[in-house]
Amino acid sequence: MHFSNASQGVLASVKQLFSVALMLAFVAVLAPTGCGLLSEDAQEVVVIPPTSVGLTAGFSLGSGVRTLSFGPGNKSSPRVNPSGDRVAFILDGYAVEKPLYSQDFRRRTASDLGAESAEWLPDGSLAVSASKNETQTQGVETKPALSSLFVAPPEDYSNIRTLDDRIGATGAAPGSQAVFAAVVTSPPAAESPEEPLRSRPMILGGLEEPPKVYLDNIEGYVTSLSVSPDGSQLVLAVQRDVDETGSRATEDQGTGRYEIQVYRFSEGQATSLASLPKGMEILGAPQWTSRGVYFVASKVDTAEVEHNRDTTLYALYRVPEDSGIPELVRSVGEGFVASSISVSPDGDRLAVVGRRNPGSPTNLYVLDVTSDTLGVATANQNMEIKTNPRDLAWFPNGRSVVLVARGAFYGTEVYDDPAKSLSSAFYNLYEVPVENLTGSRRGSEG
Amino acid sequence: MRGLALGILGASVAVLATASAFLLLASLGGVPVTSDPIPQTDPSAPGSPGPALVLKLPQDRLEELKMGPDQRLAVDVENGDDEELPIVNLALVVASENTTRPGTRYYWATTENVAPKEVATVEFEIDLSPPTPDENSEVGPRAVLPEDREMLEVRATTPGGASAIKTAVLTP
Repeated sequence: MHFSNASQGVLASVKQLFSVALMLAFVAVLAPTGCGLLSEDAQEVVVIPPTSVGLTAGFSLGSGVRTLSFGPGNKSSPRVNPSGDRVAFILDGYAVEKPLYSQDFRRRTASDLGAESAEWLPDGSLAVSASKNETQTQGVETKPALSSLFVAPPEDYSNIRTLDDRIGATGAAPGSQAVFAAVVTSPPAAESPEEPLRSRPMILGGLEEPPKVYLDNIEGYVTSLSVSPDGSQLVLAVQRDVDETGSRATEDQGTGRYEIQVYRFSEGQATSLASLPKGMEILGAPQWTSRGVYFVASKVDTAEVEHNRDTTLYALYRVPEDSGIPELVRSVGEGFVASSISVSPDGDRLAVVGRRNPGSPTNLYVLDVTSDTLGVATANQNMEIKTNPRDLAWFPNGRSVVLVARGAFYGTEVYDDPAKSLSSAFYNLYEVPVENLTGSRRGSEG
Repeated sequence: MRGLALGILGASVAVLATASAFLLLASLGGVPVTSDPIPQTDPSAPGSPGPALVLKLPQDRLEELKMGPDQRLAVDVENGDDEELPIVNLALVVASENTTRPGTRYYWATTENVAPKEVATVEFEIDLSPPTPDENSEVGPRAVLPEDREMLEVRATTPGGASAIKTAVLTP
């Protein structure tokens, strides 16, 4: 077939038009349909993958573990609602929720909140704790680090309500009947260096209910708290910053001593359960069980730890109800490295994220405190389980625990699926069944 | 004149075909179905025919990438079918895993006339430098965690409906 020069020119124009049209169609159709990896609003709607793709070969938490979320984003602080059909969590600093077994994310706060944790309230709203950059004044970090507490209504995330901005710690009552917080009531150290830190418990029952602040002071700064399974008392990790004279210690004098205090609502006051040796630091919230208070803390004598080449810095301790003296929990085994704990709804079991010894992979264990037996719930294969105390929670029925993990790899991993369908590539939520556990489990339990 | 009309008609048909293909693709993977459960197991499809389109992101090429501008990434597209593929469209997206971080970058390319069982190599010039902070954007304190991973997602599609995808996740 032959063409004249004019025809060839027309043909060239048509080819160019064809290419441009194709490209325009490509761009126009691709963008709105979600073929793009992330749009500006991608954090609001993440769709369910058509097939289960998530944990790829080489990355596993063991059989029976179910993936609860997919896709990019740093997820933390999962909390299952009382009816057990939705989970709220923090995604890249904002609160979201979704049905437990589908991938329909609903944003609950603005994306610039700096949220750290979210707890369910009875009316479906969320109590969201956030640490903002305001804790730093002119580049100097204020101590103690305080958080702000917000209530995010179920429907309108723009209508968030600020409750208090001097929060030391928060924790939910069993069945999410309420959220408790410790409000720092003493003035900042810069204003009143002589006055010791004091806190007061605050209870929050829902979006429409005004928070109630108990008038009794807790001496010290509440770094973390939990509510006993029967809901009758708060268990508090309290940092005392007073020196021998009773005035507030300076930062040069160290961070002060930790105490475990119990606040019984029936008595309306906090009492000291145990005072920890100087230098012993509590990690996360102490947990009230049917066999006393359990907590994770650093080992007392770091020099001795180093001398013995024992890199176990954090261990599981218990304060029996009648003694008031912390003791190492031996039933988890010598050398056990504990990271985070959470008591079961019935108060008889303790979920523990930790390692059998410093060289073992991190796994989820469940300690039956009534029989003092330890069962392993996960069989970690190349997964990095988050060890922040907030990143571990029980299902209300006590049959499962939710945790956060991602594949541990360095360099590059290539997958055959879109990013929104991947789970092990990013921090995602996993449901781990914890019934009928045995002492060891198939896989890399260590 | 008749040639011009035919050309425009052909272009229109191509546009519609491409649009339909992408709509089909989107409907397969992008429908927000709240009622669909997250499956517990990974169903495989044994015995299904091999893919008509195969995308390859060789590890060695990915490892040569640096977190900066003007990076070149060659992607291999293999025609696994018995017929020539007149055109294959490729889309490459570069993004941080942090959903609040701005700066997602999109790239497009096409390759034509890929013979059966032939591999065509398409080179992208991409920018992997960190996005410049946008003062007007809603970026919270979570935006700058050093542990955040980067993603390269490549999709290849044909007007006939064949598609392939690869996602590379890069650790810091």
